[in-house]
Amino acid sequence: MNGVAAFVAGLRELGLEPEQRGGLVVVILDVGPASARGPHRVGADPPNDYPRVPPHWLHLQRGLVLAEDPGRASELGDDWWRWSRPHPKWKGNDNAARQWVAHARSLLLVAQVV
Amino acid sequence: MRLSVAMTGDAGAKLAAHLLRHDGQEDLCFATWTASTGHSRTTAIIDRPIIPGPAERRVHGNASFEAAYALRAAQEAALARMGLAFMHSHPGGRGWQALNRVDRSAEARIANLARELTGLPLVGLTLAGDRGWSARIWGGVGRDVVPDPCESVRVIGDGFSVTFNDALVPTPEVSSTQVRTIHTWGEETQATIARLRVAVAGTGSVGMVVADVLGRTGVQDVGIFEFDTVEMVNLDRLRGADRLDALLKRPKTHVAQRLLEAGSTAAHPHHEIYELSICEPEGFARLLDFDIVFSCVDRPWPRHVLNTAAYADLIPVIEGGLSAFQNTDGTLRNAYWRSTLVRPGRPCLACLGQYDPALVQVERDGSLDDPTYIANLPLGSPIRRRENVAALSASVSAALLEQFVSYVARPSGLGEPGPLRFNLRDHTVERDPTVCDEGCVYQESAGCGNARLDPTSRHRAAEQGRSDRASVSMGVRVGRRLDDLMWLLRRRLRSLLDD
Repeated sequence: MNGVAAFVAGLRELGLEPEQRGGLVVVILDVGPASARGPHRVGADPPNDYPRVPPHWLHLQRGLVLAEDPGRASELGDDWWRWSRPHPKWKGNDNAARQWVAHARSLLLVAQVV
Repeated sequence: MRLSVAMTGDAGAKLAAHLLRHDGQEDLCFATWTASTGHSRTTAIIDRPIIPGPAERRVHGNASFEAAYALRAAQEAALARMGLAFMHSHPGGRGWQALNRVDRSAEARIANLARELTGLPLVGLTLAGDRGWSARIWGGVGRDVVPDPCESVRVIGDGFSVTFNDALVPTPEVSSTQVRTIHTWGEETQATIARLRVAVAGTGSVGMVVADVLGRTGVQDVGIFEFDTVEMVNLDRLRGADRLDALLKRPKTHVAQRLLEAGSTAAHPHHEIYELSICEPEGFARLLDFDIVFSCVDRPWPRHVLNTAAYADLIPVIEGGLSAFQNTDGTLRNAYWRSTLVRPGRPCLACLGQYDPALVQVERDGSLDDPTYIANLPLGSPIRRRENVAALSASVSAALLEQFVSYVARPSGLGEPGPLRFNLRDHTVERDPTVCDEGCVYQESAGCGNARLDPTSRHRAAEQGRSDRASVSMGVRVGRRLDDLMWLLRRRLRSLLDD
């Protein structure tokens, strides 16, 4: 299994409830910055050769922003922004979904509320 | 479709240990195989030997097997969703073995069983006493099964071992321009090197030199993969290119073709020039038609593609690169260049840190070609690094070619040295002790062929490059025609004088 199907299956194995929207996947994570503790919805764009290659963009709902660079319009709709946040040390093995969730959670913790 | 067989050095060693007996008798066994399908070549990758139990085959000078063994092997192959291969030895044979009447009859009997149980054709192999393999793939059904001969069998181990089917890939003529080369490593090695299908992915400062040298070495089939255009900024390091190429917006493949045409010493060169990215489906399929690839690319996506092919499709990839570091005043502090040969058993490019898998998708979605994206990257980001200089990129080319010669010519019987790092300031060369992480997905995918996760997709930068070259002004078009005419005249003059 690969691509979106593998990503969704991996998240389900972690007890999460991912929702597929076209080529993107939205999932609820129960963390957030101190001033806006979770849960928050985040989106990802797993490529066809996931888990060899991780998703590039992290999609966040408006209200949460990541510092240092401007977000871009998201394919998920006007309520969303996407942020370029490649995984810092990706190993495309069996723990791929866990790696991505840890990465997304670490970004949510440092997100800023606007 | 041309046919070939490949196997890892480990599989080859296991099979040879079983098939080449100490008592000099013939032996046999089955194995599983999987396909790696290129544009014009299909390679059967031998996966796992299925060694017979004591009651499953008889050795009596020749060797024969019980039906139950064939059935067990076919069932194991079917369960693994793989094909069935049957192999036997000719201990007294040397090199490629023709299929004799007895062997043909034995394999024909298994061919239908293999197809019925696995859905794939039988691959038949013979191992000669000098460890030379020969192979065929059985087509047809019922009484009409026929062996389609393969063109080569490649064993990807510490050294590159290949046996050619002389009927399909004849030993090339030696030309007077190759005398010094043959004095260096002998006619047999030259005959092997000349028949290898060698691809160069990326013809920038490193790849253009590599392509030129391969042509001069007498390699008959050199493949060039490049989608980029010659620009003025390339001229300080791009061999064979001049201002006219930049003014006429020539593809780099054009320069490579010219170099190969002018310098090739093969009697009948057949160079394949593709204005394609290996990241595109067609580029990747054509890449799979080659035996060895030089990786002269510097971005994460093509490196990921090559890393995938090196393991999944058993196509050794020779890779290298240059890093230069400056003092605070902008002067050169030190430079390193490295070289490695990527194959099962050697560290992969991801574990070596030659690319970051997370940046593959960043490149794929076009971000690395988006100036605003690049402008927002931190100053120290490796993506922003642009250093390159002809005097040092020539060293990278040399380091890659040394890996190639070590692998195919095997000086003193030794193969390639593993990853090396050259230090300019200290004038030293070091071995890189890196090994792949436990559970490395590339090592685990070795020989999986078409079951690989497809690393290709639409490559907009390549499409844009081709499109830009196609939409030039009339003046540039006329300039190209005149330039082509001059090269045509030069070619004519050369052939006139040759005659």
